[in-house]
Amino acid sequence: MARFSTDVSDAELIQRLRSGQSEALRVLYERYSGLVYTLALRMLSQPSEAEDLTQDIFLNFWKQESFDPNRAALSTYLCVIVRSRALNKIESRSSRKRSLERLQRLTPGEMSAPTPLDQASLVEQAQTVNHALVELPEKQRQVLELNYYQGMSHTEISQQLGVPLGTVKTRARQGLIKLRQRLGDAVG
Amino acid sequence: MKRGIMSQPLSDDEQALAAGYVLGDLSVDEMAHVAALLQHKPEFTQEVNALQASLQLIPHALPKVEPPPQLQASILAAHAASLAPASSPSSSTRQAFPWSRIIAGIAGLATLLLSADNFRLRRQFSLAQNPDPPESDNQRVAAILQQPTSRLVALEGEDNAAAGTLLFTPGRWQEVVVSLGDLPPLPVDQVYRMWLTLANGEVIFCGEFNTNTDGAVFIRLTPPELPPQGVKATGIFVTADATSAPLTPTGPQFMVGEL
Repeated sequence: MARFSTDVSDAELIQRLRSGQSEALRVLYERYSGLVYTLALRMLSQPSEAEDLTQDIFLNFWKQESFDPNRAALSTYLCVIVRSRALNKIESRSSRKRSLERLQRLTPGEMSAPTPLDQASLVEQAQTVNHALVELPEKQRQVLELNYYQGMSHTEISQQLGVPLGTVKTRARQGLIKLRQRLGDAVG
Repeated sequence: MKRGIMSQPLSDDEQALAAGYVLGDLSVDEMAHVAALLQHKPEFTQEVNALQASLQLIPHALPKVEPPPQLQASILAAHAASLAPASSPSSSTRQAFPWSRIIAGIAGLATLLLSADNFRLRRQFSLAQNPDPPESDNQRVAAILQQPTSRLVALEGEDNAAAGTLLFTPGRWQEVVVSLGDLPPLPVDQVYRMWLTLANGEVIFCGEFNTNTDGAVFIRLTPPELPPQGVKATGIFVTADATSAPLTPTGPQFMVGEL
């Protein structure tokens, strides 16, 4: 039962939220809670932890002045901070020491600028990315997903899969290049 | 084999370097090469951006899992609570309430009951049919009453003898206390529901309850939905509905009150 028009832009909603209009948070939640919770649950596995992280994200992301909704897609920004915080949680509960510099955590300042695909609906984005990902060879997709969702370095992936480090690097790079090619103009 | 660096499409090696850069797996030598490419070859920078965007889109392909329904209410309530301390002292819409300053100093419920001179509230405390431990609710009532702007609003039956009180703090609708009496007990498949009317014509569900065998209710409600910022609540009413009915205020109105 959104009281704002459903076509109000993310930038407008964030501006309203920052000026104290709580209703904007409801609309943003309805728009992005599925994406945020899905990623949090995929990475943390525990529903209670995913709920806590989702709550933390929605209560705080818009307060960060460093985020400019006109310069980066909100969906991208949310995924970046969910991933970053989920990796922190994974690491804090992990007994083994991870190689932090390999986690490839993007900060908001390092996010990609909005792409043509960012103009599409979340459903359209999901379909486009899904089609591109399923076309990747299984081994390449596996390496990309271990890196993305579990924050595993290529060295760790090499050890887990029992394949040479060079092979893992090649699979990851080729997988990403193919993903980019499949997405084509959608990512610029 | 070496090609010029300006206005050239990327070689396979350069594309692999761009991917390695985005993935964070470059060697020191590769990093130096990438630094030069980023500085002198716009096509390389463009490719890095496209690869980065591609990587960041990966989670969009996950099968969607919706969060549990109560999470939204929890987040919105927490957000409203975070705003309340900053907004209430300067609120120009503070409601006039003759007891507010007195009640602000009340430390406990016993003092409240003497000060409020509200026979029904006092009586129903003793009759309370209450799912929570009594100490807990008493403490919550005391906490609400200690808010300088807390209010008691009378609820009256519509063509029936029911009467009662709603205790709340304007602007903090995430917690209200309801004390009602002389409500007819309902069949097991029905329930009383409380609703808040807003100035913009919308109606918000506050919570549901049943009476004890004496027809009395004393309960703390935590409305799952809050009025939007800047929209005043104007009234309250109670309906009787089937327990399976959707959360829309369609049942007959048993009690009403003005805010």
